[in-house]
Amino acid sequence: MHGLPANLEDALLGLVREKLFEGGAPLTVETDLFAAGLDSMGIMQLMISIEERFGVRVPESAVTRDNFSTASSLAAMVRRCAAPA
Amino acid sequence: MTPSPSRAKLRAPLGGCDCYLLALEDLMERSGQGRHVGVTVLEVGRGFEVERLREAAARFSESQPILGAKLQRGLPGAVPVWRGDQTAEVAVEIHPAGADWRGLAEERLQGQWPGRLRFDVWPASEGFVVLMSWSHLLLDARGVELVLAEVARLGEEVPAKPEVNSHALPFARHRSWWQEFRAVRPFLERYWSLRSERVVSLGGAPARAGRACFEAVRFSREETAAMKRRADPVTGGIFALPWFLAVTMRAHAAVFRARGQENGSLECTISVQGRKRGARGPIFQNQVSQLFFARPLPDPASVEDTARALHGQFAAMTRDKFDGAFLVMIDWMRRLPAPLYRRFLRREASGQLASFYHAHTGEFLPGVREFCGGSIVDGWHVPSVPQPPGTGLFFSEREGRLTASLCWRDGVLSADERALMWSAIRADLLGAQ
Repeated sequence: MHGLPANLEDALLGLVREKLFEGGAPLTVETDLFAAGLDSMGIMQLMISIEERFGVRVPESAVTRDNFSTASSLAAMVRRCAAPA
Repeated sequence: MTPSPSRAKLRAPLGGCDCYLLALEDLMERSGQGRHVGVTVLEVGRGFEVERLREAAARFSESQPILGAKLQRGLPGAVPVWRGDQTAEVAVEIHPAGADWRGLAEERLQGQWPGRLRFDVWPASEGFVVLMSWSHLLLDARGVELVLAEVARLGEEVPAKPEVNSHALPFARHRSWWQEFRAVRPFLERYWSLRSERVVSLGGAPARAGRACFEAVRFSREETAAMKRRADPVTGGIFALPWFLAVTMRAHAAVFRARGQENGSLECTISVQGRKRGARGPIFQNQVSQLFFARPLPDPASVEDTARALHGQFAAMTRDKFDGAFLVMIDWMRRLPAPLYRRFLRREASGQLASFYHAHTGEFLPGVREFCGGSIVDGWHVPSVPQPPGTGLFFSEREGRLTASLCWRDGVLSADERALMWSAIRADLLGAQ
C-alpha cells in the first residue's frame, strides 16, 4: 500500500476544508458533503487533489455518490484504490 | 434615491468577472440588445405576504449601498469602480391576478427598467409568482440566490444591525508576476489551441438587435427520477456538468444538422462558481471562472459517449487548474480600456463568443423553505443571452424536479427549430419516448 497517513480520515477532511469549503466550516468526517454543497466542480477538484496528495489513481468506477459522500467514505475508497491488485 | 449620511462613500472596484461582463454588456448595448440582465422566477405558496416582501426589500436596499452606486470607469488603465453614498429603492410591483406573467418576464428580460434589482408579484391559482429581475453586472446565479435568501431572512426578522459589506472582496496580490504568468499558461494554451477552430453559433456574427425570449419546461418528479437513473451509469450520480453539457451540445447540433450546417466547431464556456462552499458572501460580485469545452470529434453517436468525452476535457482542465488560470487572466484584463476589451471579446471563438451558453445551477435555493410567509414551490433562472451566439440552455432543480429554460434572441431560432431542440433534449434526458 502507498504511504497513506495513519489517520487518513482527518487528512482527507483537512483537504476538503482547504480546497473546497470556507475556513472554519463545521465539518466532521461524517458530514454529508453533498448536503454541504459539493458540486461537479468540487468533486473533480477533490478527486484530483486526492490523486496528487496521496499518489493514488481514482478509477471512473470509484467515482460514486456513496464514495464521495463523507470524509470517512472517501478514506475507505482511497484505501481500496491504494491496495495492490 | 435618498442620501445615506451614516454610511461612508462606497468605493468597490469591479472584479475580473465583473469587468468581463461589463465588456459583454457594452457589446450588447452597442448592438441594441439592451443590458445583460436575468430574471429569476419564484413560485411560492398561499401564505406569501406582499407587505412582508416590501418591508424586506426596503431593509435590503437600505443595507446594500451598491444598489444605488454609479459605475465609474475612470481613466484608461484604471479598474472600473462602483461609487456612491446613496441607497436605491428596490421596486416591488403588484400585478392583477390572471395577468400574463410570462409576457412581463420577457419584457423584464429586455433590461429596460430602472435600477439593478426589482420584484414583480402576481397572485396565481396556488399561491404567487414572484419575479426578481437583476443586473448581471452585480450578480451571478449564486449571488441571486444569496439575495433571495437574505430577503427571505429579512422577511422573517429585523436584524439589529444591517449588513453593509456585501459588495466586494479585497484583491490582494500574493504572487509575483512570474508566478502569475505561470498560473495563466493553461488558459493561454487552450485559448490558442481553440482559436484555430471555425466556431459556429446558431445566431452567427455579427452582433445585432433582437428581443430576448425564453421557454421553460418543468419536468415531473417521476421524469426527473427517470433522468437520474438514465444518467447515473455515466455521471456516477454526481457529475451533472458533463452530462447536461452533452445534452445541450447535442440539442444545438440537431438544429445545425437540420440546417445542413455540420462542419463548424461547437464550443461552450461553462461558468464554474468561485465561492467556496458554505461561503455566504459577498453577494454583489460575479465570482465565477470559466472552462472552455469543445464538441468531441469525431462526433460521438450517443449522449453517453459525448458526456464521457466532455468529462475527459473537464478532468484535464481541472488537472491543469484552468479555472484558476482564467481568473488570473481576467484579473489582469480589469485594466484594459473598454474598446480593447470589446475587441478581445469580438474575436473570441471566431467572433461568436461561444456556440451557445449553458449552465446547470444545481439545487435552487437549497436550505430556504419559505419566502415572506409562503413555502417555495419552485424557482429557476432565465438570463438574457447575447447574440451571437443567440441561444442558451439552463437547468436547475428544486425538490426533485428539473426545470429547463431555453433562451434565445428573436430571429435566431424558428418555432420548428425550438421544437426540434426540445425533442432532442427530452430524448437525451429520458431516452427513447
